[in-house]
Amino acid sequence: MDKKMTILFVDDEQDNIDFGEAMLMGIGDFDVQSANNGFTGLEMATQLKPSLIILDVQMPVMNGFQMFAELKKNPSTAHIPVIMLTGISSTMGMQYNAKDMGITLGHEPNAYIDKPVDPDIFQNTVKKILGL
Amino acid sequence: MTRTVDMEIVTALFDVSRAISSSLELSEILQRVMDLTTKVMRVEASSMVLLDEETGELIFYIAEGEMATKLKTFRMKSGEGVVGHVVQTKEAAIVNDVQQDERFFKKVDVKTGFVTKSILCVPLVSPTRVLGAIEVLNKLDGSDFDDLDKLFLESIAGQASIALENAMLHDSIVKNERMAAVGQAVAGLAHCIKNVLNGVQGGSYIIDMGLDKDNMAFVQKGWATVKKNNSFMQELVLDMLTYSKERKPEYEECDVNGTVAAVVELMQEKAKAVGVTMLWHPEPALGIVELDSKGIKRCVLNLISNAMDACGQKPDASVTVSTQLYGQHSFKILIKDTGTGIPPEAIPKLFQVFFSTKGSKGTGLGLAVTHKIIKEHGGRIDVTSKVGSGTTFTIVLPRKRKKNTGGK
Repeated sequence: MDKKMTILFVDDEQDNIDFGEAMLMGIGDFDVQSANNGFTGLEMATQLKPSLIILDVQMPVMNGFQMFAELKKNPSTAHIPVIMLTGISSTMGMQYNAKDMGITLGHEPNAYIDKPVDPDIFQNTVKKILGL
Repeated sequence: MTRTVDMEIVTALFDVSRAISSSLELSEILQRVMDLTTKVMRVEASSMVLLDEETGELIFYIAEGEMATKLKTFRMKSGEGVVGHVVQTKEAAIVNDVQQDERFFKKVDVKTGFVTKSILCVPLVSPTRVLGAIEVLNKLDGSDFDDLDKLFLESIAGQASIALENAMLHDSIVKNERMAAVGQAVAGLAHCIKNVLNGVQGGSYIIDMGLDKDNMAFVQKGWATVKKNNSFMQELVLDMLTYSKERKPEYEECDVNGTVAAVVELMQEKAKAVGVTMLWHPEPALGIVELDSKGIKRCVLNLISNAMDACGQKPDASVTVSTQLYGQHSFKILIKDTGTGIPPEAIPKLFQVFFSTKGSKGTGLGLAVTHKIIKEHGGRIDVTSKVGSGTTFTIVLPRKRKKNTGGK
């Protein structure tokens, strides 16, 4: 059997990580790792090279936009697909919101999902990105 | 015209410009201007009429003389009467026999019982628009209005227009700022509620999964999340209500050490759970003070809760709560943590509503509410912080209620 795919979940709220893990359990058997801020998330991403990163926007120490920008700058992590979870309405657009926080993204994440997260949308997005 | 009259006019114009450049409210400034006009021009009555840009109606903003009270709520249609004509044409008008002038609008006299004989009316204009007009009625000595009177009233109108235009610009800036603040508040609130909803959604999903798999551990975990978010929502609503309402503290005599100790005790369990040491150093000499103990409990609770969040997973972190005497009439409550500290650039924004550095945990209301309660007590709140070393919040409160901070 193939090695389990690693998914890195970066969120400062443990409840959200639990929710994410539960939704991931519904689509497959993954090695889910978690970090509670962008700084730790970035270190873990460099180390683990996960198949997918799920990233919250509002976090202390280093927020999701900052972590996303850093991921794309580093050639060893730039290719990792990213789903961003946001409480800020996605209708305003990610680039706009990042700019509002003074961050230039340069790239768009593979997908972004608005909170409260709809499990069907979440699961279908993960399946599509991972080719399942 | 005699030398005496000249001096009187010059003095009046000087008084008008002084009134306009004073720090008084606009309505007081205009009232002063109209008082001076009536006195110096020796007329029976005078009024200031403003143009309502939305409806095009003319509103008697300030009426002087006997008819004042009857006219203050009176509105005229655009173009009506001598005033309406002046506003429309932006040209001053002297009508020394109103009965012979077809523009004269009799309804005002009918309403007030005043008998208008002569009118001098000049427009109030700014460089960009017409604001209204000033009119004076019936010279006390029965003589006609002349060009000198017109020139004098135009000088006053010029000054009044500047004051009006400035006030209108100021109002529109305040209105825009208020709209921006409302927008920001709604966005902040929506963001906060979405996080709570996400928690409820997650909890319910985990409960469903537990029920499907017949796994009680999942059900319990999900249920705890739902309950936590429910109480978070209750806190949020309480903070929103506290923040939105102007209220006076409900003062009572209380043992402030007892009030703070109750909160410390309440938070001890949470501190143990997250591995933070909580210390409590009361000042025994503090005694009985006057304050709204519910409000102050809320402030201390918010600050301790923030202090514990700031400690995060930092090893050996502690939160120290203490009280101190401060001069003869005040005392301090200090909440000191050895947590992550606050970046200097965030400190000026700390007490702004919906500003939070806590990611999804923060409502951005806690410190705004705390600040509001302390200010309502006539006290203040200070913060010192160093990134990596920790933060100290200091509440300074008067021992007795200040007269202007209300009571029960």
